[in-house]
Amino acid sequence: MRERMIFAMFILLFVAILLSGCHQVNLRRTDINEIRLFNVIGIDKISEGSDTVQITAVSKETVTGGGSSGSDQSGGSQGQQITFITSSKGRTLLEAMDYLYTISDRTPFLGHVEYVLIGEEAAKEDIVEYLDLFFRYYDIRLNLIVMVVKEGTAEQVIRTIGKEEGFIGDKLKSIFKDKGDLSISDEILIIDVMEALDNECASLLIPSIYLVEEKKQDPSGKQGGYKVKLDGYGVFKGTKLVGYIQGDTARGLNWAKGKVESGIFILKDRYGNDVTLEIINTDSKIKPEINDGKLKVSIEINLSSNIAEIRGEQDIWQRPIIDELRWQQESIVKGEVGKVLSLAQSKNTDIFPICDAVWHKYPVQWESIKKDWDDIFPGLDIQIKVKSIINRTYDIRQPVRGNEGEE
Amino acid sequence: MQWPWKKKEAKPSIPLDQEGKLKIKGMELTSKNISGILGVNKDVKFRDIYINAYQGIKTTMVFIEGLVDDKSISEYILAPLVRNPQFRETKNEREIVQYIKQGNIYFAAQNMRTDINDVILDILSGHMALIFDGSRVAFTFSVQGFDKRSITEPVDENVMKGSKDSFVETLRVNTATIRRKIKSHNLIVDQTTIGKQTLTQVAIIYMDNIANKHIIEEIKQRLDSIDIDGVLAIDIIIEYLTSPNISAFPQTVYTERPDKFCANIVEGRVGLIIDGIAGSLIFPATLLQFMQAPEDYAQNYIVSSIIRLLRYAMLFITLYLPGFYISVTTFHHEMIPTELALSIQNAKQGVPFPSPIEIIGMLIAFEILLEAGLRLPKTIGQAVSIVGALVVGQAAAAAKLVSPAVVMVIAVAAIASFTMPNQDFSNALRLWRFINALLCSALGLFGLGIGGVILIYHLCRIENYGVPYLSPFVSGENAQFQDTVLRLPIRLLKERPYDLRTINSKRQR
Repeated sequence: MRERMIFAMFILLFVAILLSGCHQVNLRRTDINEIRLFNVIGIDKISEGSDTVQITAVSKETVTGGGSSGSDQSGGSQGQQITFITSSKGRTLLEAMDYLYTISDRTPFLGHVEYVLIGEEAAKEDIVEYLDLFFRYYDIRLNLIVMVVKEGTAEQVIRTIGKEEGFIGDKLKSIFKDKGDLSISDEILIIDVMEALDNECASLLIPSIYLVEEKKQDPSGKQGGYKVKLDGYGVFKGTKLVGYIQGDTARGLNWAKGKVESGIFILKDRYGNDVTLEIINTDSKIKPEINDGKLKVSIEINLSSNIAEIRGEQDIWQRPIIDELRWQQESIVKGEVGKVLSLAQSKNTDIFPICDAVWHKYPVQWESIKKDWDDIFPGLDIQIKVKSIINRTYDIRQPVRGNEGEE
Repeated sequence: MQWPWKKKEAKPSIPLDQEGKLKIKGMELTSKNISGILGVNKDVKFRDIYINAYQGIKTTMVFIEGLVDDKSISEYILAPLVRNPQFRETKNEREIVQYIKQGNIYFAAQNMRTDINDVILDILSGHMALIFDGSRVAFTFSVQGFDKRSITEPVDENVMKGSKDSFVETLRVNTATIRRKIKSHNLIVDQTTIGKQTLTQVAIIYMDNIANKHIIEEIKQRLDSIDIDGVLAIDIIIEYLTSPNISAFPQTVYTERPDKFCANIVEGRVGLIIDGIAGSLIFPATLLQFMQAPEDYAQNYIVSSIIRLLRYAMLFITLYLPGFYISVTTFHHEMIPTELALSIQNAKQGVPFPSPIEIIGMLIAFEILLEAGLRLPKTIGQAVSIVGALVVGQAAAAAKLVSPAVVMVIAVAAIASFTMPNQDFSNALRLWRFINALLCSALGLFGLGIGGVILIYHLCRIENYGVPYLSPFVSGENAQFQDTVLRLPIRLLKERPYDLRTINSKRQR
């Protein structure tokens, strides 16, 4: 009996779905070759008439060679990869997006967007205005990476790179994959942005990219070119971009946040020769302390490094010399962190965020100082403690010159 | 199922039970009567043998040519009958009957019959009968000598390690094979006859000290209730012995391997061997049995476990991969990694059909090829596979009728279905693959979920002889998972399947 019921259910289901007469049932079905998989989206602020926002979308596509030369059908290797860039404008982001839908020959699909570039103008105005659609729209993944374009617009970056180097998505992927080598920036996902904006006291950080001109002379006469570079962060106060931290300062921030993956120190040993150390391991902790009602914070950083390159001929693998190098690298780290600390305190942006550490350690006291955090932070007593160790010199201990035969 | 007209008293176990099947009433056991019934046939031979010609004592020999072994008749039966002085000097028939009864004809398998029905059945089964008209007594000798296929390697269920024998069409050979493997006196070979016209012998085989008596009784009862003309195909028995339900999944294990059969018998299941069919049936079946290959127990348990895990993975792939492909390419584009999505998109350029049509069309094409290859003679079958590989694989993709990605998906699903150890089970999965693909083409992953729920519901509904089909996965607190998805070492398989409710549940200490 039950079996018969299931059978009847089956039939009813199919009748309901497939045989529902002339009225076309919209199953929201789109075949994969009818959609365009956008990978990178740029958002810019414009003011043309009533339009206030422009989006630039990029997708990678493979164009199969013409049918006439279809002699070798094996594999899709003859397909040529092209970058497809399109822009549209509107009063709001969704309107611009809808225009994009109507002008496109395939249905745009945003489920594969991995990178969102925000022009500097838009970021300075109010980032939430431009990102709100991305926070709530159903197609969008919450793990896409957000970037701010420094001194430029997103369209500019996308079109320049698209013209010179091809698909910007691959470029960005490789940039973010190798971010740890210099550790001067980090990837921030859109969900991190939401979290930081929801946080009352912490400031939002978004990695910044910009175009750098390459001074080189091509034999073909093509003059130079542009490359996209990831460097530092754009710092937000509230929802507005207030400045950038870059280079060593950005690495200082990464030290404090424990986000340094690798990097180098170039030091001088006591003979005046360059010694290059490679950072192997780092770890940091922000430790707030309330003594007699007074808040003190210490940032403790531990790191270990290896000697990767020596320019001198002397044997430096001796305790006093190594200690000197150690102190040097500690002071470098201290300097970098100090730089970013003073910057953050002068701009009153808690980018570390120290307030979270306080809240986690002293939840009760935090309730009373929470509203005054903007006043407390600029004058906060923050100490930087660095401990470091130099582990090894890789395969050889001494320079190959000089000390013959000695291990 | 209780048939009121089938209610009857307990019957003797070994002699064939012909009640309601072969009944000649009111006829005396004489050679004339038998000749009246069988004499029309040209292959039935009657011969009068005078034992003591002076006294006019004779007996009538009846047998069917081709079914008996002439040499053993003449050497072991006729020779003593004629030469033995004891027989020659007897005065009357009664004495001869007495002598034969006492064993003066030195043939091992002899029966004394007093009912004409028994005699006719014996003759038809290849016995030779000596009929003594005066005493209304007949002796039947089991001298079957017809040509039978010798035991060969199993065709469908091959193993690398383990025994290489298989069941043949002759019931006695099969029961002997089983006896050779299980020497316990507890092995019971019960026998009954089914089919009003074919009078096919069916042996019920079980371990008396292990198997659940209720299951045996139920099987016997259902066998007795079968009222059909002939048992020439296996499914006739299967359909009568399983609960009536709409299911494509096999309800009983069919095997041609005696070792697998015996392993199941020893486990507490009940086996059925049908004369004329080179295979055996095992009751009651669970889904687990269709996922186990005989080799699992011939290999290292770690290797077996990994292979079994792989087999379960393949089960899901063959069921759901085409549906999943339809879902992600038409509904959930975000589920595919970007690079893969681009390559699928690229492969699909220029293909006029939507993905659901592609997949379902290719599935149908594959089924057609499979069916065509199965029915054709072996020599032409190869041609079919070449055409199939060319048409389905290359040409269809080159002609842009299907995208290469779809060909891959179908190929993977097909190969995954070939890893199923049981063909019947694999066929059921093929059906459900279609259902899933149809549901997915309408509703996407939601349809896949619905398909999964319906399938599980369906499987949960099935039970045979009180044993759930999904046992032991649904057995609650008594579940034994030692030999399910993994195959643990034999020394950990301490107990017989709980759901069989065996008399003795301990397999080993």
